[in-house]
Amino acid sequence: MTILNTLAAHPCFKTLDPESCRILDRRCVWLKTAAGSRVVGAGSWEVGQTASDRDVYFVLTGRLRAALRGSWQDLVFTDVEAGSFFGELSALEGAPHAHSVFAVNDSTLARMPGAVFVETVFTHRPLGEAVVATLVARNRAMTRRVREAAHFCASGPPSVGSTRSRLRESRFDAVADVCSIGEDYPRARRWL
Amino acid sequence: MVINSLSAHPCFKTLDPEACRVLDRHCIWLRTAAGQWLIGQTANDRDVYFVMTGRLRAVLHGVRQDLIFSDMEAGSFFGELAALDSAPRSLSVFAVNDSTVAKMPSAVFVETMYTHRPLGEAVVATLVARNRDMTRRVGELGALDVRSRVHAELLRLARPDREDPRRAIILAPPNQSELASRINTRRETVSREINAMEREGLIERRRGAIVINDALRLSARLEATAIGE
Repeated sequence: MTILNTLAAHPCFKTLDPESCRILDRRCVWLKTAAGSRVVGAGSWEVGQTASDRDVYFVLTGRLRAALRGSWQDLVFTDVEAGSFFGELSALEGAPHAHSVFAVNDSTLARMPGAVFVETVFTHRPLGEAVVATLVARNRAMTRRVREAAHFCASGPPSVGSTRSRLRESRFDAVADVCSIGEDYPRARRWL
Repeated sequence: MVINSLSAHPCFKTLDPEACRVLDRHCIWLRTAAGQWLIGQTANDRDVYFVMTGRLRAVLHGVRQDLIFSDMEAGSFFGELAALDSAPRSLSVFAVNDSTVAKMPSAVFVETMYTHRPLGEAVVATLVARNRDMTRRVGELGALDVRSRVHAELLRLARPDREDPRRAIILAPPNQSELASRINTRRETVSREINAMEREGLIERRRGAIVINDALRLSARLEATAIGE
């Protein structure tokens, strides 16, 4: 198996010139996370929910899962696969990570400091485009969820069908579909 | 003064004059009277609007009433989502006051975003801020009852009183219908809650302002409700 320790293998950096890529590689910390260890289900916790770091994680191989740790169960947000990244909101707005992430399969990650990430977003267009596309997709999904939540409060049952059919649209749509049916609906009903 | 150059907009302040003139020529300059709709939900155009003067409001049309999303003041922009993902508009926008806006074609906007860093930074910051705002809204609509949503909205609109750290003031508060549209409820419900708060001594209504007498107590109460105590 080849050992991945260069960002050149990640879609966001494929067109970056080799020298700049090597400089970025040296700024990253390379992590190998094993699947199937402790905590809830399989996997080891990679990024803590209250972690105060502002680093961004680029997934080179494997698969990870973002979840919100609850007192009695965890709420799964979405799976993050090779070629994706996570932690960009913390880096961009300087707030702590909102979710915890753990490895579902054995994974290789590049952890890039928040400041390096922000600088690269504005100097390397493919990364900028990927980040902007992520933010746009999230905004769309959240607008839809506000519409659904407003609908809950106004007239009862949510549009369950539309939510279900959207679940597999993309990882970002799925992110916004947190606790979509089972969680929101009873809670909304309780307040009505 | 007639504004017809983007150089007056914070996103283009540092752009060199010649590049700015080229951009100006790509834009269509619009003056909108108060109350006039500028873009409609589900419209298919992809232009981005830079607010030069005035104030506009983004709303989501509902069956029973509109839900107010946000107000956009001079120096901001909107319509960037459709320009970036080519999907139809998700919100409608109308002018609250007489406004001047520059309408920029999406292709010009996207290209400028990646070549003029202050614009790129403003776009990313706006997207992040909107995301945060909507996450908060979803949480509130799903988990808070109307009373708590009124409390949360009043706290959000208020600014700390310099003379008394416990107090907070809302200057030129929105009327009750507008407040109801912000938190997705009826005007009558807002009226009832505001009156109850006044009776409890939580707020005081003055000419052109609402005073929150103990903002810390109100936010502690809100937090307790949010975690289900």
